[in-house]
Amino acid sequence: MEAEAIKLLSAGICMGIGSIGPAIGEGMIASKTMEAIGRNPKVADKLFPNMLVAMAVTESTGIYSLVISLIILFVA
Amino acid sequence: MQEISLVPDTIFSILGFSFNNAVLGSFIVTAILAYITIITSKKLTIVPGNLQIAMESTVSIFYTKLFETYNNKDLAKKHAALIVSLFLFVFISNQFSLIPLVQSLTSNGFIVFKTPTAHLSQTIALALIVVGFSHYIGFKMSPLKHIGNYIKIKSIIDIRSPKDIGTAFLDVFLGMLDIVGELAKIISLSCRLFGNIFAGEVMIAVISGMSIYTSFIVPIPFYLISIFSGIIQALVFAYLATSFISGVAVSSKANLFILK
Repeated sequence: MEAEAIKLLSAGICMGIGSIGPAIGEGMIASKTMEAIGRNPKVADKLFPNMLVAMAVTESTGIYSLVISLIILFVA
Repeated sequence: MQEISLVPDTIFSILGFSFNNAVLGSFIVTAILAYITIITSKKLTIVPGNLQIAMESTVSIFYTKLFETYNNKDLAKKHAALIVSLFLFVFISNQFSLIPLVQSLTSNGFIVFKTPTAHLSQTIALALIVVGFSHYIGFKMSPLKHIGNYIKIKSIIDIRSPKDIGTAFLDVFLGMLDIVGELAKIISLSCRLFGNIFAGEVMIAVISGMSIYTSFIVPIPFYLISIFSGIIQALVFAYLATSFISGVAVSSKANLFILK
């Protein structure tokens, strides 16, 4: 196979496998938050910003695989 | 379809320093920031107007957090100044694509002003500022204790019996891993911000360039996601900066009551 074909293939595989983990993690965060809100609806306003921050940090590994696939496609 | 490239284009160069898209964009962001802060500080009143309320609540988000950790007003004020200015700079530059008409200026086919944080050089610089400042603070407060967190000589000196050798070895190894952890902090801070903003721009460019029918109403949900994620990423950057700086400052002092 030529280098161009391997580049395209590897960028796709990298992003595909790299997005499994963060999606599962964010679903877990959201489900725990929903449980806590259901048990005690008055703290919903305090839980929501913390949930967003936790989700943004969990998403970082997905972003790392995006950066690697961008480097594969455009720089090398 | 537009060219997507990771490296920004050089617009002009003065005396060997080359100015590219990202730097010119950050000049505009600085000008906007300076204008807002000068207008706010000229009309400070006891009963605040809307702009003053917004700025005061922004400052108080980070100032109260730092004050709870330090219990010392002056130190919390000094560190809150750095963190709030970082937050405002990242916040405004994430929404740079909402400013109308600025991105239509072209010179020789290159767009002159681009979103600053969509370039890896800008975000690495910001992350280096945060991590470098936290180490500088730790070093200034007590140099030996700060270095002793990473190169653990104390556990080698305290070897009394053969089973202490294992503990000392483990401590030295964990100290080395902490040094690698500092590099990982720099990379993670910069890549998170860069990846989110750059991916938003690429998504919008790809969708608008697909065909003439998808250029006008279809990108609107993607713009909304971009705006939302820009706000969240600015907050996360500032929160992580707060926890890095206050973590190092607290662990370099034996007693919280003598922080100065």
